[in-house]
Amino acid sequence: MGDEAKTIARGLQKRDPDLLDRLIEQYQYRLFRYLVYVTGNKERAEDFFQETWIRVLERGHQYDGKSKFEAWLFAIARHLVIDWQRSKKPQSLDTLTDPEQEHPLQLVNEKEPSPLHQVLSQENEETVQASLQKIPAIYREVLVLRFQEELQIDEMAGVLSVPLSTVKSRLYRGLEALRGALQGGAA
Amino acid sequence: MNQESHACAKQLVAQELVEGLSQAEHDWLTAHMQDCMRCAELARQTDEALRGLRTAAIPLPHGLASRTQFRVRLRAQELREREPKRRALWLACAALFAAAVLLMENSRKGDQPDWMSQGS
Repeated sequence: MGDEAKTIARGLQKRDPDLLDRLIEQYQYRLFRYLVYVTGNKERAEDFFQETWIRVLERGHQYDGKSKFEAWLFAIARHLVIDWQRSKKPQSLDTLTDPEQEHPLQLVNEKEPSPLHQVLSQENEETVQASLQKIPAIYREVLVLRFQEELQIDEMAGVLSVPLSTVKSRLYRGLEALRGALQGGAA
Repeated sequence: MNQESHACAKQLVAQELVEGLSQAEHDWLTAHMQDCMRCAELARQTDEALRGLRTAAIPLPHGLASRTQFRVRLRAQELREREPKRRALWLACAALFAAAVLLMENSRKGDQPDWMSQGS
C-alpha cells in the first residue's frame, strides 16, 4: 500500500487531530453516500457518520496502513450499522449478512415511502435512481462499493467480512436485481 | 440464435463488470451483440444504470463535517485526559501484583520445613 496509507496509520496511532480533520473533510461525501445507501435514511446516516469518525479516533491504532483507508473506514461504518440493527432486532450476524436471506440489512420499512428515494429524488429523478431503492440493501451495498467507490473484489471482501466468492455472487445478484428493477420501472 | 446463447450473453455482460472477460469471451460477446438487439439493449441498460449509480448526487447535510470534527476533537481531549489516570492505575496494579508475588514468595520460604532449607 502507498505512503499515504502509512502516513494515515501513523497519524491515527497518535490520534493526530489535524489528520482526523483532514480525513473527515476528504472522505465526508463518500462515507455519507455509502451510509445513505446502506441505511436508506439520511438522518440515520448522519448519526452513523459521526459515530464512525469517533470509532476511527478510538480504534485508529488498529489500522496498519496495509489496506486502503477507505476500505477500513467503510468496514467500521458497516459494523456500526450492523450492531445497531442487531440491538434493534435480535438476530444472528449470519442472518444479517447471508445473501440468501430475504432483505438482510434492509433497514427501511418498505410500506413507508423510502427516505432513500426522497434523498435521491431531490437531486435526481431518473429511473435508475428510483430503481436503486427497490433493490435489497445487501445488493445495493455491493453495487455501491464496486461501481461507485470502485473497490476491488478483495477489498470488498474485507469490508464485508465475507469470502471473495460471496462478494462475486452478491454482485451478480445485485446486477440482476438492478436490471429487474429497471425493467419493472420501465414497464 | 437460441435461448442458450442469449443466456450466455447475459451472463457475460455481468461477468465483464464483476470479474472481467477473456479475449475469446469478449470477442464472442461483441459478435453476439452485433446480431442481437435484445442483448445489446440489456448491456446498454446495465451500463446506463451503473453510470446513474456513479453520478448519483446525494446532498451533504450542512455543516456535517465541522460538527463531526468538533465531536471528534472533544472525544480526543476526553481520551487524552483519561490517559494519565489509566497509566497510573496500571502502574498501581503492577506494583500491587509485584508486592503480592514477593509476599507469597517470602511466606512460602518461611513455611519451608528445616530439612528443605538445609538441603538448598
